[in-house]
Amino acid sequence: MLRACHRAGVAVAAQNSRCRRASLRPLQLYRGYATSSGESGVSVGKVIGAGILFVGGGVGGTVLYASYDSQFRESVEKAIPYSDKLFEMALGPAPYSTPLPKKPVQQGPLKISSVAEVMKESKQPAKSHISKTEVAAPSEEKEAGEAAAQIISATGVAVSVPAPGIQTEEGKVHEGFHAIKERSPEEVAARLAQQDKEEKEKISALAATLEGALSATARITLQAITAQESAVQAVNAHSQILKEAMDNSEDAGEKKSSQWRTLEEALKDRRRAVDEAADALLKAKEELEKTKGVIEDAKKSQIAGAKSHIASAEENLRHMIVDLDNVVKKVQAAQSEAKIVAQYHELVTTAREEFQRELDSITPDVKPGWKGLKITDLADQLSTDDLNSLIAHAHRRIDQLNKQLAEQRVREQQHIELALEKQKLEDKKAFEAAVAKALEHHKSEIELEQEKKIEEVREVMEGEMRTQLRRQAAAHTDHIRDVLRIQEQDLKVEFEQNLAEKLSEQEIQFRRLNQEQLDNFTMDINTAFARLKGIEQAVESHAVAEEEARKAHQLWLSVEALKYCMKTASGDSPTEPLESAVKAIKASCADNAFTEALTAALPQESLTRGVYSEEALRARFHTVQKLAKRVAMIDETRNSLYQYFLSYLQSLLVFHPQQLKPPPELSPDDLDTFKLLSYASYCIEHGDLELAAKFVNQLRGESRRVAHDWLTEARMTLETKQIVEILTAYASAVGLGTTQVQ
Amino acid sequence: MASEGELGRKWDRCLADSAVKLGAGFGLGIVFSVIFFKRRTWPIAFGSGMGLGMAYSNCQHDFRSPYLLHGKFVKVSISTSYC
Repeated sequence: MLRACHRAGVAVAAQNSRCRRASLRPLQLYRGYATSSGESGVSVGKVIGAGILFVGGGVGGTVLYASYDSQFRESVEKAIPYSDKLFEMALGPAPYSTPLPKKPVQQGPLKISSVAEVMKESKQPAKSHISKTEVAAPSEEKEAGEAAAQIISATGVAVSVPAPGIQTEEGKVHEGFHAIKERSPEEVAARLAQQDKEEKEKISALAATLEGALSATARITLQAITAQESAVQAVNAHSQILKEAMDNSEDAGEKKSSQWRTLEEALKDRRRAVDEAADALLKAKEELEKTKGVIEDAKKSQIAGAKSHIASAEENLRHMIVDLDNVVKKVQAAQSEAKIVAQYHELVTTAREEFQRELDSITPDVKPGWKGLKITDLADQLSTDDLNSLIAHAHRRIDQLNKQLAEQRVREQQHIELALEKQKLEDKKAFEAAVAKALEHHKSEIELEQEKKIEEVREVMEGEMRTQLRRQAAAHTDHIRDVLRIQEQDLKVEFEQNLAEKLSEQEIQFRRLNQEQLDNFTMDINTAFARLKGIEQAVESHAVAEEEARKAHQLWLSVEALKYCMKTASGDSPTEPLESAVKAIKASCADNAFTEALTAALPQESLTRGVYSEEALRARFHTVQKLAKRVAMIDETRNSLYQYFLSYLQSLLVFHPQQLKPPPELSPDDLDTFKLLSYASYCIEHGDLELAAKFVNQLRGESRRVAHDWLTEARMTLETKQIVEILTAYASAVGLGTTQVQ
Repeated sequence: MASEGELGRKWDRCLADSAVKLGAGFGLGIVFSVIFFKRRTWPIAFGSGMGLGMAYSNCQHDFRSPYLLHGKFVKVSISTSYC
């Protein structure tokens, strides 16, 4: 027991250990899987990282290349949805996305720094003004072209549109292409009206801006001019005062000092005025530039009606520029004069200083600060030596100066020539400059005038052209109308002819086809008729054959019914009377002699009462046989009761086999009742009712009388059977004969 | 009706008849014996014998009946027959 327990325990332990091991192993396996999966996890991470890197690199590369190549960007945007958003975010809007800008009219930058350049600029806007087109809108122009085409095709309303003889710009072509499509005249007129309104609005706005700019410019220019003039005046005043100061250098001290002071003030004034003038000039220049810019913008907008405004504005601007230049010239002239005066003044001062220095060198002990004083004031302050030396110095100076003068006189001519030449050059330069400026002014004036004239002429021409075009259009419509009418008639005649031809052709063809059809139809009808006849015959023969077949079939069926009737005998009762079946047979083949004879040959009893079946007869035969055996000895001669008893005894004592096979030939000693009965029974047992009936027919005496009914019955049955069989055979034969074997 | 049943029927009739006749004979015998012959047995036997014999005879006749030939007298006048 203990051992068993121990064994059980061991088994349990073993099982446990096994389980544990089993559990361990899966754990180990899992761990192994875990580790392997951990390892594969690491590589999975690597794979994921590599994939992300790859995708990011692809995207980044695509973006970079798209930034470089806009076509590539376009194709990518088309292929991948929402990539355009990404590109926009990364690179900004696409360069190709902005619509094709109109090629701006090449107008150079405006500079109003120098007069010449200003002149050039005033020339250029005029030029571009001329070269500009007077088109309200590109669609309008295209409308003109379409309207011109419509004149031919439409109702003949000649829409008066500005002639398309105006030059087109390249940029307009693009926009024109977008707008190409035929519009109705009403639409055209509406569009024109709308565009006129727009134009007027634009013109008014432009005019307002121009005027504003001009007014501002004018104001400031006036200011500049006044400033300049004041500067000129100041300069002149200063130079005047300086001159006076120079001339009146011998005047009294206070006057001198006051003069110097005034001079200084005048200098200051001049400087201030000059500065102011410069500032004003700058401002004016700026304003002029601005106005130039506005005018340029106005020109860029290219509105037809604004031309006059632009022209007038330009003219004003030009005037202002001209005035400003003149004033500047004046200022410069004044300045140059002042410079001369200043130079003179300087010279004088330097000479004086020199003189003073010399005097100082001679008379060093004179008080300083007397430079400006006159000599006569000093006379009583100096000693005779000083005076002598002074006089000597003065003489020497005078000699020197005389020498200088002589030299100067000698070289006067040269100097004069040099100075003249210099002057000539300067004059030339100034002259050239003035001429140039005047030329430019003149040019600009002329250009402006020319432009004006051109505009006038253009307007006139345009008006004329319009009228001419209208006339032409009207003439064109008339002409086209006539031509069309004629063409219509011609074409009508031609087409009618064509139509008549075709119709006659078609008619002929139709008739021909009709005839063909009729012939075909007749042929078809004939064939069909023949076929129909054939079919009818065939059908008839078929019907006949079928009738025969049907009859045979019916006969067969009725014979079958008769046969079936024969089978209806059950037990000892006879069959049903065969009358109905026979009637059916008679009805089914009323005209068949054979069948009639046969059906007539049927025994009446079978018709009325039916026949007994073989089994019934067989069963009956047993009793008949027994009885026949009992009365085997009784005949005409022996028929007393005692004989009856004896025959009964005989039947008891005679042991014949119940069944004896009948011999093929009957011998006279076979005619014994017992033998006969045994033969008959044998036959009956073997189903040969006929032979049995024959044997029974050989019975004599009482046995015969006993078996008489049985015999009749058997005879009837046999007869009926025979007839039925014959009928069946006949029906089968007829049926087979009529059956059409396919 | 069946010919094989004929004999059976005949036998039935025969027996019935014999029984009746026997009984009748016996009865008559008894009657006669009682009435006329002072209760002697010989009229009973006589009567029953007579009855039995009559019955037997009837039976036999009945059984023979198919074979019995019945002649018929045909009167032929000589005077009217010509050779």
